[in-house]
Amino acid sequence: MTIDKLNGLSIDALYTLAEKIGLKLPEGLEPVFVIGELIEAFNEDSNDRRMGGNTAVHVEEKKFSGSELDEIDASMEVAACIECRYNETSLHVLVRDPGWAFVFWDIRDDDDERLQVDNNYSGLFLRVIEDPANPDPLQFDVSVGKHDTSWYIHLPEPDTCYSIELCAKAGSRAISLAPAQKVRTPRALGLDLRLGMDEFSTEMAVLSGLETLEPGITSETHSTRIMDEYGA
Amino acid sequence: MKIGSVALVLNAHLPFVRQPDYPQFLEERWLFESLSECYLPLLRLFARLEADKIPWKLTMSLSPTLTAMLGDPLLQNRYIAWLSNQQELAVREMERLANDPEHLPLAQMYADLYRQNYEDFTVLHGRNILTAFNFYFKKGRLDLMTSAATHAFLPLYQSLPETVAAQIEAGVVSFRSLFGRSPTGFWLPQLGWYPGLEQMLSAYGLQYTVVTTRSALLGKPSPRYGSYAPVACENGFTCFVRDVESTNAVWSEDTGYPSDPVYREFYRDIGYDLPLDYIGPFIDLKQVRTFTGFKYWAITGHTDNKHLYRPEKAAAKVNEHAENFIYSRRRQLNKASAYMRKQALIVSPFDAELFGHWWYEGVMWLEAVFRNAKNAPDMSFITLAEAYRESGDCCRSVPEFGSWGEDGFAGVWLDKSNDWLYRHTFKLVERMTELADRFPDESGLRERVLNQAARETMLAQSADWPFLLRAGKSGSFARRQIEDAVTNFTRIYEMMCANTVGTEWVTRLEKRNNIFPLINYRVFRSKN
Repeated sequence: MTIDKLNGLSIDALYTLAEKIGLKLPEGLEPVFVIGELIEAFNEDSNDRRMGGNTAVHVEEKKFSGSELDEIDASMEVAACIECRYNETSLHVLVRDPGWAFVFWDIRDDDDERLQVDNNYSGLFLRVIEDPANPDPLQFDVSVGKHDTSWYIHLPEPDTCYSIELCAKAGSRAISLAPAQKVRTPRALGLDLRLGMDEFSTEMAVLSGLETLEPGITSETHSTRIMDEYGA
Repeated sequence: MKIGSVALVLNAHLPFVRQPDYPQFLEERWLFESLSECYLPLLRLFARLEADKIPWKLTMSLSPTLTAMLGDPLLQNRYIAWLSNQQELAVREMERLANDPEHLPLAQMYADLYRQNYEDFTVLHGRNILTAFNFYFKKGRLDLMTSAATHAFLPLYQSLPETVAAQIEAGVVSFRSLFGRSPTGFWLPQLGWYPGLEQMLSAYGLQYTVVTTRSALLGKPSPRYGSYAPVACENGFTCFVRDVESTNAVWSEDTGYPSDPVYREFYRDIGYDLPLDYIGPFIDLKQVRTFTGFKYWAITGHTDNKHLYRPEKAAAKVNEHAENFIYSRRRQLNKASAYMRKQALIVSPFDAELFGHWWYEGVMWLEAVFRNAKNAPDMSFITLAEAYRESGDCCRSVPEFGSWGEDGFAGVWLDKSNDWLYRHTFKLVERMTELADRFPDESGLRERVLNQAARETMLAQSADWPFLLRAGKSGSFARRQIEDAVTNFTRIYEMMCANTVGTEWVTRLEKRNNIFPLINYRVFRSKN
């Protein structure tokens, strides 16, 4: 994103763009101030991504050379032209990383109508069971809105199996709406990784760059680094 | 005494951007730019190294979507038209800069590049560069790998084995039809791996892939030699491990070689700098500013006052960086082999399009690396196929779920900007499996229709779409690709359920989305 490109956008488009990237700006600002805030936010975001070691992906963006349309594109809400649901009661879980999973679901209209006429029905929740094979497993519930259809759930333990189920609250009862989905969180880098290695394997892991992969390590900056995609 | 080997791996991939319904399409330019700045210069590099008897070895993954586009007559013709436009721009630039002795040689440099590309593409390669890659593949200089059909990020589809199998099978079949033999190596899109994938890959005769260091170090049990030796899964499938240090030397935007101030600046382009009435005829739709590829400035530093690009200074730096790369790898290999008491292996995978396109001097750097390798007799370059044959008894370990994305997992392809798409891609797979189970023995038109449904299912799964949605680049294009595939599939699904087939519409769709002519929809039949 360059100043030139932002200058070509209307003030409404600039405000929409600011909102999309999470910038809260007071109303009535001159375009030049909005552009200044946007550039700063883009640069911060870009630096964050570089500091996060996202080298491969950041470089990959370069092969998709864009155009002015990218910014106009980014400043407009695009209306979906496909249906956003399939009227079917179902639940899917996608594991994103050692701590988070994305859950999406749908409830068939007639299932939903049955719930609505139940006087005891008070809402939906996701039941998360840790290590479901354990005879006495830990579990917790995450309340979700009646109109929600997706949720990011924090799964506390890496390398652990979880069962996730969509349920309705009806008085003191929990009604299962869709079959539970089982997933496993991946292992994460941490001290326990080294504890599981012998001295030789640890040395080889360090030689392989283990310390640059572990959390808390940031890359050095370089005074001559190239301009990022927003700074040219 | 030999201390070890280095395997350079280039992943050449672009999503399927063919748009025959439009006379000109912005995103098709990705293919034309990559051809001009990366693939054709790479082939010239191979020819020079061969001519000089330099013992080069390289591994490349050519993704099935890319090979489909490279072999497509419509896109070949469009590339020739685009090259003619670039040559015309070069002529205009040389006229404009006739009295500017500093800029004129740079305009000449681009004139030479596009003239050479035109000659190579039309005469030397007869419009299809795949034949040239196959030539070096057969000679053993180049190892070619296949990849998932539409570059789907496989870990997110692990609960749908039918579609993972379809992605692998279409990639293998496409490779075999192009290169006349079965692939042995498989490039994981975005290095996306999950435990269990080895079973599917082995089932298609594939023998090895590359995973990240993080995936390997988190593997069970821990790998004995870190990233310096491949590991074998329980079924013998081999995973090479991406080396962090050598890849950062090239990837890193902060400290990597491409960030040197004397190299050409990627972002400063006359497509944005010159008046629209001049540049209009050479950019898309004559009014949307885009990169033209004509860039006259050096990176210089964190300033808008860029210095003029000096190719001779950049060439000297290329050599220095190539020597540094070899020195650093020898240093790494020395350390690692001393611990291991055997030869070590460094695997350095990169996106091919980094070389020449973003890092303009990247292809020259590769050449300098191979030429300077003669000064390092204790180290050699090796293909992954050779490394696999030489690997012997690997340590047993199954790598953990991971990718080369920002967080090392799936965060790039699954966040608030793109998570909506999985509702649709999952539904497509479920319905495609239903169709394949209900109609296992179709032939004629109905088989064609089902095969097209399988194509649309896979086109929606490309990892490029969530990537672009997240990056905010060509986001509406990415969104439209998903929506088109979902709409097309759903129409077919409804036709099959209603037992009516719209022949004319399906035939048009087959011509538009003509990828994977040998696809067999039955691969989507239930696995359970």
